[in-house]
Amino acid sequence: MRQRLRVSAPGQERPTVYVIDADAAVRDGLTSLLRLLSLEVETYASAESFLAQASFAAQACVVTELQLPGLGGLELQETLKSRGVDLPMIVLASRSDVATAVRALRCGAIDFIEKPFVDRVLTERITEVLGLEKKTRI
Amino acid sequence: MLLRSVELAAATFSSAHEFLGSYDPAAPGCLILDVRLPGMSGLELQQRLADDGADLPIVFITGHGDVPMAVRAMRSGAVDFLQKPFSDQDLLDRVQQALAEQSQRRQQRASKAVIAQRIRSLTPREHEVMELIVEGHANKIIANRLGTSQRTVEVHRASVMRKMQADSVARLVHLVFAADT
Repeated sequence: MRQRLRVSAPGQERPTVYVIDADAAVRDGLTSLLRLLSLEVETYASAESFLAQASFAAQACVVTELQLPGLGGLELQETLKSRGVDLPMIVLASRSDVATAVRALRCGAIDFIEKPFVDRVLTERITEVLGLEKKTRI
Repeated sequence: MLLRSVELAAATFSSAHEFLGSYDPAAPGCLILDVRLPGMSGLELQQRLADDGADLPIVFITGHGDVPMAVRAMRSGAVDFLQKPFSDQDLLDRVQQALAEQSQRRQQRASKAVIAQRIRSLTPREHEVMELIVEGHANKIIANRLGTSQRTVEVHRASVMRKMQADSVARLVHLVFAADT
């Protein structure tokens, strides 16, 4: 039912991945990688600029670096939760520890991936997450 | 000692193998599991229990954990992954929380089973009538749909409500919905 409704709303067709990382090289790299999967990609250099979004795509997920200038990845997770925004989140971390990873996952992150990572690990996770989303929303 | 101090029964095992030898899936419980064990590792035991469909919450404790290990354990459903040294309170909190959640899951499953049993006791015709009631149709419409008399539908409706132990349509909808989820 909803699927059919979505057809009449152009631009809502392709799932969106929101990439948040202060490093422009990472943003560019992820953009090319994810566009290969025919995904819509939007990049942000900070959690604050991402949160300034008025609305989020119905079928979407967030890929965020743990360490960001200003609001960090885990704080972003909490902020979204407190605003009632239910976006699956994958956390990327260049420096991390067990306690932080566990905290992110206990708060509902789908995965916590250390940099440098193998592209396939991330793309598999994203397809899985967006596929799952599709199933629960029908 | 710690667990007994809060009146929880504790049984200890020195290997995954020993644990599996005496594990009773029907008993409520929580597993406090070290990642490093002789023989089958903690993560392997977690996988094995998941494959068996066990509803056993696991709190990992480890002296030598790394991020990929913690992520794997958590993604496979662990309640927590605590590094030694951890505080007694943290461990107790997690165990109590896990036991409470497990008990809630089990209660939900049990009440679902009761409703499913009631639904199974309906005749195929009663089942059809129930679905139409739940969709919000009046007896007249239901009779029309099923090509029968309104009087017959009334009789079916009464036995649906009796068998389902529902005293109102709202209650019936609630039961059918609870059985579905």
